[in-house]
Amino acid sequence: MTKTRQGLIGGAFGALAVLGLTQPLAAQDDKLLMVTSTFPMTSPTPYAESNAQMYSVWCQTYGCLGRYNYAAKEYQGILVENWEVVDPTTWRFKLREDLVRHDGGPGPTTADVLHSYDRVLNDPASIQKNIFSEVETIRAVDDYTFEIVTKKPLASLLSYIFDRFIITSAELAEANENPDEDAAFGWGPYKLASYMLDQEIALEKNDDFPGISADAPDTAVFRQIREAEQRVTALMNGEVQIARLIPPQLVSRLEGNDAISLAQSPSIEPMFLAFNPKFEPWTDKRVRQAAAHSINKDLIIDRFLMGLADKMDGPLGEQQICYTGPLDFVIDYNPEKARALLAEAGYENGGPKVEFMTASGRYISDRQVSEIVTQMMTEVGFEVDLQVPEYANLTAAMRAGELPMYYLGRGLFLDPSEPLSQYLETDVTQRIGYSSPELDALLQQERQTLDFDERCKIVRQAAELIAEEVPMFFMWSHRLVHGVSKGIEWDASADGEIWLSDVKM
Amino acid sequence: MLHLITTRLLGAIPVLLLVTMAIFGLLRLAPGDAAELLLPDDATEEQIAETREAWGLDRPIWAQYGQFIGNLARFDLGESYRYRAPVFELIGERLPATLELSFYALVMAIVIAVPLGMIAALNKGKIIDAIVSVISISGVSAPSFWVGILLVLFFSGYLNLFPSSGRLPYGVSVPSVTGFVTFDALIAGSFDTFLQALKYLALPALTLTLAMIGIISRITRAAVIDAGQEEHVFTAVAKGMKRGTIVRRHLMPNAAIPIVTIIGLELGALISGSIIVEVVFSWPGIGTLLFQAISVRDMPLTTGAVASYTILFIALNLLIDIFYVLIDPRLRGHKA
Amino acid sequence: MKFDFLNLKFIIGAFLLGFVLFLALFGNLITPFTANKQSLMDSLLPPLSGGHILGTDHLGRDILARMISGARVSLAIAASVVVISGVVGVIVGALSGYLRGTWDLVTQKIVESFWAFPPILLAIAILAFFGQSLTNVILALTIQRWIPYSRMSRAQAMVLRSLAYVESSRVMGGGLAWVMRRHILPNLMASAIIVGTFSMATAILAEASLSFLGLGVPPQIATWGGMLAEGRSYITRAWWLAVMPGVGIFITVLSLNLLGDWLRDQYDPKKTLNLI
Repeated sequence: MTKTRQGLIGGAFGALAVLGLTQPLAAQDDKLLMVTSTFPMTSPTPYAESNAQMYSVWCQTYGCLGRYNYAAKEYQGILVENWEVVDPTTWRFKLREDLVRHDGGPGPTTADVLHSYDRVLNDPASIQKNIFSEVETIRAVDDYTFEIVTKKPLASLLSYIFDRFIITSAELAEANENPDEDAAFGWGPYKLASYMLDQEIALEKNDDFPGISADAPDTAVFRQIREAEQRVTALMNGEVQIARLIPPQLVSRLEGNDAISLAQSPSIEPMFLAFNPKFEPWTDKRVRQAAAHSINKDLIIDRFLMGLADKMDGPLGEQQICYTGPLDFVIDYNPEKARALLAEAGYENGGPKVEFMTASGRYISDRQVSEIVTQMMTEVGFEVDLQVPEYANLTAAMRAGELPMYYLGRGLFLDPSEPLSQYLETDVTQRIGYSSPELDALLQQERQTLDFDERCKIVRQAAELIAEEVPMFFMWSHRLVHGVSKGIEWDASADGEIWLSDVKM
Repeated sequence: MLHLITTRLLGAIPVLLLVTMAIFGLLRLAPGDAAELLLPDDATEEQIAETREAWGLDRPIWAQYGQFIGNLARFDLGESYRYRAPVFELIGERLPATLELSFYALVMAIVIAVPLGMIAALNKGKIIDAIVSVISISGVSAPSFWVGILLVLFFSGYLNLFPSSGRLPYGVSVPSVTGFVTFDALIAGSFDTFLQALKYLALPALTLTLAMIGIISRITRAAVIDAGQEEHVFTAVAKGMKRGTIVRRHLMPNAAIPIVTIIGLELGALISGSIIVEVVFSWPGIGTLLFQAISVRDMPLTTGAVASYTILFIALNLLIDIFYVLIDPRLRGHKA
Repeated sequence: MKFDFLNLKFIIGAFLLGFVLFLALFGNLITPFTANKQSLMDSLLPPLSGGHILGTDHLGRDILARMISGARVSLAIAASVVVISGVVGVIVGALSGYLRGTWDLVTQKIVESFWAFPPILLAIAILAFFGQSLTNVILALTIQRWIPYSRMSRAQAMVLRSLAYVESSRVMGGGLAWVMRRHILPNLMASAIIVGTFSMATAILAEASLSFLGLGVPPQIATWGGMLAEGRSYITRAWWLAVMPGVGIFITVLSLNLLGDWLRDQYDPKKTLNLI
């Protein structure tokens, strides 16, 4: 370590600076990976959180059915080795038999799956019930085979459960009063070493996991640092080796730093404007289109987001399932057309007045993007009243269908099926208040079409319809930018999470 | 003295009720509830409704508040929605971190500000007075989030002297006795850990310290000037006593009361005012806990934490008053 | 009281505050730009380029124009907070100290409750409940700031009440309003102004902190606090975004504190010890 140098510079600070900075107590040859985290860490119970990071952490420790490999664009098993669709409502999964539990116990069995299913549904701490919202039941076939029965044919079943259904041991739950704290053993490639609420989660490599790489970190620590400036400083200091989610304006601080490389990936969180047709003037399709035509996405991406976003023309981008290339109907930036459409809709003398709500600090530059959108819409004649309510107020009003226009993102938009239904299918939620029998029919049909290519054709039809009707106007998905210390190899994936056994140190 | 303590403690009950009622009412009646905010974005409406029912959020607000008071009377603060753990435990875990931070910030502030204030007082009206004022006020003249960010950029980013956030490096832990990591490290005999904990404390504590120097030095200055106007000081000066002796024997004892008062009040303000600093430095204290609890409308945690704040605040004020009585026997009897 | 205008604190304080006020009132003459006009093609221009004296921000808005507009809003917010809290606090406190009895007992409990509240939290709760707007930010900042005035006025009113001339005026049938207006309130003014000066300084800082927590005024209103909170993440890339409002806040708060200090020195320090 650089003890002396720090001691010299820090002379004025006396004893405080004598020791090296953050010297871990772990042995020198241990490969320790410190990673920043912005997600809450509120409970060691694997069913008590529902966010991408915690699903990923529990998936790697306890184990889940499998994960989506963004590079290969396919689902890959972890605890299951294969699966098949038996009939339109029945999926059969086969568990692996070569796994050993972290404490030396037996590998996962159907009993564990059923136990976990019960916990998701009935554990008082669970907030994950929604992953089984379309599932009728899970039944055992034999010790290593089980079947998931859906209420209706559901093509996108895997997107609900595959990497979110965390399997914990029935046996350990039986033997321990607090299994999540006292017997946190699973079957994944990493085991839980420690959990400090809202501070850090430490994982250790499970060397018994079949085929685990020797280059993968021996210990990985997810440390919560919410402020972006602090994440960058921590990376430059060597306090962490991977600083995740660096906003565009801070990227330049890392560029040109020889000890740090930047890892980038597209994301699966589309950012969109919603125009609620239950409110004037959004009842009129032409006004919605006019608003969309007024927005110069390229300019915003280029000049404000520093190029770190992928423009979207419809609900799907390249990273998402069922993306079939650019749509035929695209609303481009065209202020003249926007003015003409407004005139056609009866607003030739200026107006209409609209209320526009946005979040602040929830998504990358959300408030600032909304300010730009406000000015762009103003330029074609809208009178925009932009407001930034507290987030709790914003979401409450959004869910209650009380917002005429808003700018938000939708995370976990890997498979379009569920998000589109949530926002746009009649009365599924009140979020947008859009209703179209034609779109409803397409979305229902899409869900029940188990043939992948066939399904994606229907999704495309729905996407075209949405692009033209513009109840939602898709803007872009932000690039996920991470700073990575030299000597660490990691391919960032579109969910921003780190699959530790893929990291090379 | 006993009278003072009992009247104060009884008088605290309506305050506690008013404070908790206010926060409960404001946040329960504000839009958004914990079920909506804590469940995932793709939760179904039925799931939200079920959770609301399980947490009692569907019951009338007075029933919810009544339950809170009922629990409070039994020293039970309920269970947090966000952490699904007893509020009492969560506060017990987080409060020491905030107290430790406040403790070091206050000690630093006193060490710097009291001498500054005395120098200014002894040179009242001279140029040194103005210089000291400008220096001490400079610290409070910028919002603490901004001071914190600048300190991190300089001491952590540029000089690489101190860590940028957190309370301890990974892998370092000490058995908890007092809850203060620095004290626990010394108790455990680990001087290395003690030093490391100090380094993590340095920047957040300094940020808080800078915000306090202005006020403490100002009060010290005023108190010393005030004490200097007492008759016995003039007598001492007339007798030709040495300057240092006058300061020590005549000025300091008289100036102590207002200085201690302001320090007590600042400690109260610190414990709650550290929220911003805790957010900036990811300090695992009660400030961040409370801020997050409010933003997800975690009512048991919010009300519980606010109630503990209030109790702490009242206790602190009581301690200051007890101190008055101890330091100044004349106040005995009529200061209730 | 006798004013010592040659005092260094007064000179520095008055000069700095005068400068800020001048900028707020006449700044528009220096820059042709308006505060909210964006121009993405001109974003992040450094000072003294493209006709922008202090440069432009992330949306290409002229920072000088925003500083001027921000000065007005920030000072207006702080001044409103101070005036409202001063009037409320002095009246409540004076009545408490003068009337004593039940009124005093009840108001003191209320005062204590407001005071025992963790400060930023009450502001957050108020903004959550009422929503975010300029008026609500003022309300949130006022809600606890009347307490120091009321504590101070109460103590002073108690002393005034027992003074011979106040007593005789009451005995001779002077009504409550008359005694208050004639004898009590005028005597509280000096201390109230001193408290107000310091309170104005903290109000400017508190507004900035609310912006940092994402609870400031709506985006189309520029405030120094909001500019600083937004500019902070550009600090290593375009320092002027945060440094300019930072300096604005710094000199204003510094000057207010110096003037407050000076005022207190002029007044009887003994009476003002508890004035924060």
